[in-house]
Amino acid sequence: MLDLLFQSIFYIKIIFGIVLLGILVFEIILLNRLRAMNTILRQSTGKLLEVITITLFVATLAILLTTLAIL
Amino acid sequence: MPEIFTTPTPPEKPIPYTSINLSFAEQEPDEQVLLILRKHFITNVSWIVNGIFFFILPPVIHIVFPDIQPFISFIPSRFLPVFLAIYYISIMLYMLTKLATWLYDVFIITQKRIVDIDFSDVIYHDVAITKVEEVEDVHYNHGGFLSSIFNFGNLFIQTQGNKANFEAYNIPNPSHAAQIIISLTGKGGKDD
Repeated sequence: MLDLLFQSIFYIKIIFGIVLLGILVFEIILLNRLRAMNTILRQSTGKLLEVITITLFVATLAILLTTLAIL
Repeated sequence: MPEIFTTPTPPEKPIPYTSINLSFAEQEPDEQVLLILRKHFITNVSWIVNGIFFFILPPVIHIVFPDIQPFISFIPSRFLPVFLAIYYISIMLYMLTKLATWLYDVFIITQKRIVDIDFSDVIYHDVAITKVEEVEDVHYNHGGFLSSIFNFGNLFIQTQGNKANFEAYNIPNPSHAAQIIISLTGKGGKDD
């Protein structure tokens, strides 16, 4: 079943696209929550976590665009 | 009255704490954070080990079993980097979420208030604040093999009336935290 599904490049793009979109949504929720927590609790590591999350978001977006456009 | 008949007042016992570089919303200008309590670092070992294990799993499989047909063989070879990128981003997000949960799930004691910030999940957080005068009772317990070795346990603070009670789980040295709260309130505490 999976073999048949993954024989089509179109379906691979759709599946990876959905997974990557899910990860992006999770990253946005996490980033918003970190920002909210950083207003409640100001500590030196808070900004670092935000930066890491933004970096992961950009990386995920780049992978999504690469998957959909180039491959 | 001669000085011999006056009862000497005992010197105030200093509260053992160090200055902490942390502040929270609604903190008053003259309010100083005495103690910040997080779960003991040893409680993070499980997710750190999990993360490292899954991080090194693909190269280890590739090195140890070079001829084995991996379960991802149905994915075309040019999509393998994308698959691996998704895999590693998922692991990093898992570890980041666990780290954030540990960092933001804190229990803060100031000379005026006790603040309990719960960050148990990415989509849930809860902040509870009580004044030190409203603390009725403080007790703590140790339980388990690891908590005895690494000296961590649970701290329970009972407040007046129908206000929520405060609970801090797996905090390092709970007796020290209880001692500080008792010295702030002037009320007795107990060890379970």
